[in-house]
Amino acid sequence: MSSKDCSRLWEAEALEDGRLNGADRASFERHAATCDACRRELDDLRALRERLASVAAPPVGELQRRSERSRLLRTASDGKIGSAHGRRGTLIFVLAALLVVAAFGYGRARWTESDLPEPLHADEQPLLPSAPRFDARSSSDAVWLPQTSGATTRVTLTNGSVTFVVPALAPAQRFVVVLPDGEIEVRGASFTAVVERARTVHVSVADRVVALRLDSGEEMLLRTGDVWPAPVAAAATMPPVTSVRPAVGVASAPRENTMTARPTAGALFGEAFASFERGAYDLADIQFERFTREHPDDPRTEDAAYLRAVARFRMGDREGAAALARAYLAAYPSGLRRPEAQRLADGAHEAR
Amino acid sequence: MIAHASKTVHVADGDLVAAIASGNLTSLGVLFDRYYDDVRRVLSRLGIAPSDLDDLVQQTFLDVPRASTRFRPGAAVRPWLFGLATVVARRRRRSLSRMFARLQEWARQPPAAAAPTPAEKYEQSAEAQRAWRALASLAPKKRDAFVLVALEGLPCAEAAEALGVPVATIWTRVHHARIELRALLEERES
Repeated sequence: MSSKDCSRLWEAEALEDGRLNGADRASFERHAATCDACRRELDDLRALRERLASVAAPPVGELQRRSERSRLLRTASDGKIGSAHGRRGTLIFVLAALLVVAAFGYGRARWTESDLPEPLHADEQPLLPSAPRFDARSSSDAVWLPQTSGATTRVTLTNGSVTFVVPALAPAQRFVVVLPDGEIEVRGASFTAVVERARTVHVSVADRVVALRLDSGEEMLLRTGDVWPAPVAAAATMPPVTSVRPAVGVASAPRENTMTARPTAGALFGEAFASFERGAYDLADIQFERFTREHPDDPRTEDAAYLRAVARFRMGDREGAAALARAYLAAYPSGLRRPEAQRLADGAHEAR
Repeated sequence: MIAHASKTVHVADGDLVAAIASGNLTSLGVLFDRYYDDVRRVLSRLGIAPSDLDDLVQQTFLDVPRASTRFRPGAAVRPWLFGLATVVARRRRRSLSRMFARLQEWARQPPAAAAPTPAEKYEQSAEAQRAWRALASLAPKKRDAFVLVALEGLPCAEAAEALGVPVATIWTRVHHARIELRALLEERES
């Protein structure tokens, strides 16, 4: 029997493409059970599909996937986002910037290098400084928009929680988070800001120094481990907009509130490990370092030391990885990770 | 607090696209994690050579922020991304076809015979290569429709929306693609 013999042959293709439904489908399926031509056509169609479906992409490893991911985000944040966002975004930003200027006026003291308690890589002076780069991780409800202009990066944070990792800046560079009720400026820091209902409700610093300027008070300097608002009884529910503490007071403020208390060793290690697992190696490195600094006697410091080296390696920083691996070898003469650390120290480690 | 900021909540695809439209790059990263493999496979099936695959995956995802402002709320994200991939693949073919036209004058080499780069270490079976070449030699419109419906299993209506054509057009294109593919595969076997 030739395949042209049945008048219902076309329905085989309709069935294959999911175009036959309900009674039509049932009717054709009953027919195909007894019609050789239609059954053969259905088999042919399936064979053709399976044959062509063998075309797939070459397999890809985890490392390539990660590097493609960071390449995408780097390109996207390098400028595509500005044009992608269109004029409306720019207009909103300009309006926001105008509001900020109006709110802060000219009386505000500029944050100069001399205000900083730590020297920040003063030797890094590119000829033409570009706007600082940064990494950010946000909560699902976060609304935020990065904008660059000259050597300045401004991130307007309208709502939600965002964790920023900003590398040390060159002298001419500026990194500012524009908040609905103030702004944050850093010269290189790792910190989290939370905005709810057009108010800044939380700022915590994981590394280095953050200058927080709220409309309601003077500039505060928050250092590694500091949390704003300082947890006094009512602070957790209502930000202390009228009684902001000067920077010196914050570091020594008591921390009993669970929300803002200094995290336990377990929590710190857990956070760091979660970042590591997620592939956020830069953040993981900072978090492991903080864990080691704050809990030097914890048995997990050995893991932290090794994982920092691996994180460095996966970020592409082979020299940093080798240095950390050597530090590990020196600190843990009978460590469990010595073979791997040795390979990292030799620079011959193939990351898995 | 950092744990709070980065806690893994499952965000719906559509919400991710909305966040990208408002300038949120983190969401673009999440979308990439979810659909990297799918987009890569679709581009390969759309006739993109392995050596160009990574660049075109990048271009597809880089098109997302601009396209996201036109994303219809409630629409499925996967077919929409595939639609973007077909546009990127078509763009590449246009620029390639100009180049090949010139090359062929003196090299007389069909595009599919271009030597694989050393990066292409994976071994495609002879069968898969025949199938790839058959797909690659289809007319682009037919191939787009066939790949999305027959190989990726999209309902015809979703494929129609992704490609911006009426659903009946999809039916016809898939049908004609099949006729050509059968002929091409038989011809190569004989």
